Amino acid sequence: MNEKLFGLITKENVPVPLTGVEVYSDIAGRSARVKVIQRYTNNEDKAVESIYKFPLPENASLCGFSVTADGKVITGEIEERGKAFDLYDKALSQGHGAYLLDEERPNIFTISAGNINPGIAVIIEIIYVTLLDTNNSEVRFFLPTAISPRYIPDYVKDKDGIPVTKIVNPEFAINVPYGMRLIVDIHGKEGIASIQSPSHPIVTSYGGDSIRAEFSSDVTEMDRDFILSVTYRDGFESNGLYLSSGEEGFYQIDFTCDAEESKGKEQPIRKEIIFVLDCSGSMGGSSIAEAKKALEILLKALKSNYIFNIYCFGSAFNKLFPLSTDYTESSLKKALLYVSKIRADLGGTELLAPLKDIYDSKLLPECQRNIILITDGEIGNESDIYSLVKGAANKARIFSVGIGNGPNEYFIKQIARDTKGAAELVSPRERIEPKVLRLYKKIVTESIDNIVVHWEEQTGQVPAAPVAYCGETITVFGKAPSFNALVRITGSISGRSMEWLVPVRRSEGDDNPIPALWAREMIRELEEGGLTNAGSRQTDRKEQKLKDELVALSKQYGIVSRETSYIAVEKREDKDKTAGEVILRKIPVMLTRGWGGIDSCYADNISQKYYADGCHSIQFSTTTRLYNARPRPAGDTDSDVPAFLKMRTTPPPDTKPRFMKTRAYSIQEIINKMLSLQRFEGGFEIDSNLADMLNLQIKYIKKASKKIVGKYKTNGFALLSTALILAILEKRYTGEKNQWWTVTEKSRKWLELEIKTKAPAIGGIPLADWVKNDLEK
Amino acid sequence: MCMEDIKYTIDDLCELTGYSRRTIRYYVQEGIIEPPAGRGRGGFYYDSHLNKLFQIKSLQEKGMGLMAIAKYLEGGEVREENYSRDIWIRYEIAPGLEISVRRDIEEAEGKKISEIVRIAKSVMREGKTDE
Repeated sequence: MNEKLFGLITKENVPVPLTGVEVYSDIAGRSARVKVIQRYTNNEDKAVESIYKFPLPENASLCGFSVTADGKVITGEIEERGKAFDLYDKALSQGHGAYLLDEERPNIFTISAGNINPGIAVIIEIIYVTLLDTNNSEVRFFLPTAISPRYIPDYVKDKDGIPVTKIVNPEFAINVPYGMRLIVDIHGKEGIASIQSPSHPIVTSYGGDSIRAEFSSDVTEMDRDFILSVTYRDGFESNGLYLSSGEEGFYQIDFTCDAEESKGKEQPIRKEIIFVLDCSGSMGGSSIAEAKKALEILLKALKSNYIFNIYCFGSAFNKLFPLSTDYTESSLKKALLYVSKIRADLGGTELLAPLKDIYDSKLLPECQRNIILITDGEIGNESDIYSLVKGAANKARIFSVGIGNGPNEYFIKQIARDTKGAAELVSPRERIEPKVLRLYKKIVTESIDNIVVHWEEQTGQVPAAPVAYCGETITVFGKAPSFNALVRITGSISGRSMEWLVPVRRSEGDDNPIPALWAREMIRELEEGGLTNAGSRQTDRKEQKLKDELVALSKQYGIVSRETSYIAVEKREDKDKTAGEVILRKIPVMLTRGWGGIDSCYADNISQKYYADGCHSIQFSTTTRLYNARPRPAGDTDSDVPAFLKMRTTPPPDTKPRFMKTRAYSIQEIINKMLSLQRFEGGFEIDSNLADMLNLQIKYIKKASKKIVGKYKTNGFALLSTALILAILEKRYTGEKNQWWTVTEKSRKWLELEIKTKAPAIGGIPLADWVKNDLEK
Repeated sequence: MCMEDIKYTIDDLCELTGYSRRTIRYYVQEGIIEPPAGRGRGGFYYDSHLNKLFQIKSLQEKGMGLMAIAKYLEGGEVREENYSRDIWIRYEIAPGLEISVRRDIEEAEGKKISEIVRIAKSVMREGKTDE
């Protein structure tokens, strides 16, 4: 045994100089400022060069890099990427210390720390600002801690002579000897309704103006992404901030299109819906089961004028129909059978081939193509895929769902941005279905087209062509020298012209994130603009111009880009210079928990939730509230059907209950079950399983349905089931309306038509009133 | 004079081979080329290093990836597909229009490819007639 290997080592006895990671973050409304500290110690008897690949959010604007080495503080500077490496390399060659931060992908970074002498401790500090994802009144703080192994297909060429897999994939290990500490301060505590984490157990405490959230354990393994969901008392309203910075001024306009303004009216155009499901090995476990459930619900919700198809992909792909086909009872049946046989057994994550197949197939005239992509996104050849979908941006919108402990956030969001679609990320402790249903709502309802922000004078708006859906908040940045208290935004919804006026107030502060956020967005637009030309005959001059622009922006605002790196050189006196052999230590990164189905059942749905009333509770399944069952009363008879279909109630204590519930069902399970019973033509038929979940008795529903009379013959059971399910959804699940409203559209229409044409009634009471009355009872 | 007597700095190697400093350092780290002689990172390189880099470059230009090259340099077998995967055969259908077929597909599906090329050419000819 090597006795010299004190300090942190891997199971294979390889020393790891990284001893720990700390994260400190401040959240204010939609933005966050984050400081990441990495601590290194060289416990070996030779100098080391450490290389550590780590993830950050894909929209992180990395604006600070400093190093404390042997007591000296060195502030990093932005340099062109190649030059930064040369400086790093030359410094190391001369025995100095040097520290380099490279962007490999917008969400994968590498820190090289060279010539760390024996016994020396080094602290590296990275600062970034970021905009948080929002959904109504919720913001999500997302901190990736794991890089899932990215699949690089064989045909992907090396980049600058280095295999892409070596650029994006770190060394993986089942366990690593370092962990993470985290503290998040959420400011404006009066406006906060709740804080919860679907990914980690957390504890919360009060500060002056803020609430602090931290891991419930001191140090946590870096094996899954951290998600913190903050729900505010009020939803986000459109508002703007203006920051005057020297001779420059920056706007941040948060624009929320009120869903009511559009009334959620469906677009009249015909739609093609193509489901593309990742069946690679990494999707094993609960991911594939929930994705299948979501698919089943959506298949049953499609409308008769839609065409559809399903693709499953891994190393190879297969599809349900050769080409998208009409939605009929028969095609639905085939699709459901196909879905039931899906397994996560198709090998690697080769998405390019199925997407090419889709884009090669002819687009029907007057038909809008939409792709729902469900994947863990562990894809390494992103740029090939972006080139394909961006080049054909008008042909299909992609709505992507990224699932798992460490999905490739950048890929999931970028592919949606490139195609004017939308994206959702699902942590393993969250259900996939609600997110998929939310995206489906965006497909069938309205997007806001031709959004124009009317600036008086501006020199740089990003994004240049914003994409928004009703009810969603988007952010547009502008650079303009003068302040305006109102910014006018125009757009159109289903051909109707709309106008919004957004109030703007002045913002201040040395650490104000707006310029860095603006610069990051501008850099992103330039980088993505470059991608469209990848593979085309772009001249060297144009490429050089783009590169120069990126380098200039990066340097001016201190933001890392793909063309620039942070470099910090620790000049040493001769006596401290490194001489002799330097050992290379690549820091191993933990394999994402649940990757490939490994350990997928560990998520026992325990997380801690903070409520605004100050009480704390450990809650089982924060995403699924429990609906408690009530047993049936004793002495009830079958003769009088009403009394709301013999809903079970608590029995007298001296009687033995006739019905014993073996378990309680979560809201999501009940909603899923209801939606999965939708029929091809619309309407539902309750089965005994759902009746049981709803605490009803199927035989009473059947009996009551036989009493329905109307002008014409009708399917009384479907009619009653439908009225019942829609009423229950309205009454009990208004909070989940985002999920079920669009999906049940055809059933509402079916019921309306049946009532209008057949006037069904029970005992002379119109069906709708009968259901409503009894439900209220 | 012995060949090994000529000393190169890493800058020389970059200039002579066209590789970036980053790439050459990576090859040293991964053991694809020998470390420089002398005092660590600042040491010198010889013709043996230079020749190996030229050899790597030549294999890369033939479409080989670094992982396959590393195996090859170690004396291992190189699978044919590693070579062939990026070799494409071009058929000119009309001025400005080509069909490219990867060599392994061309070899396996030669007849079908010929048929595709024939049809494509006839379609282009028809286009001209229509005009």
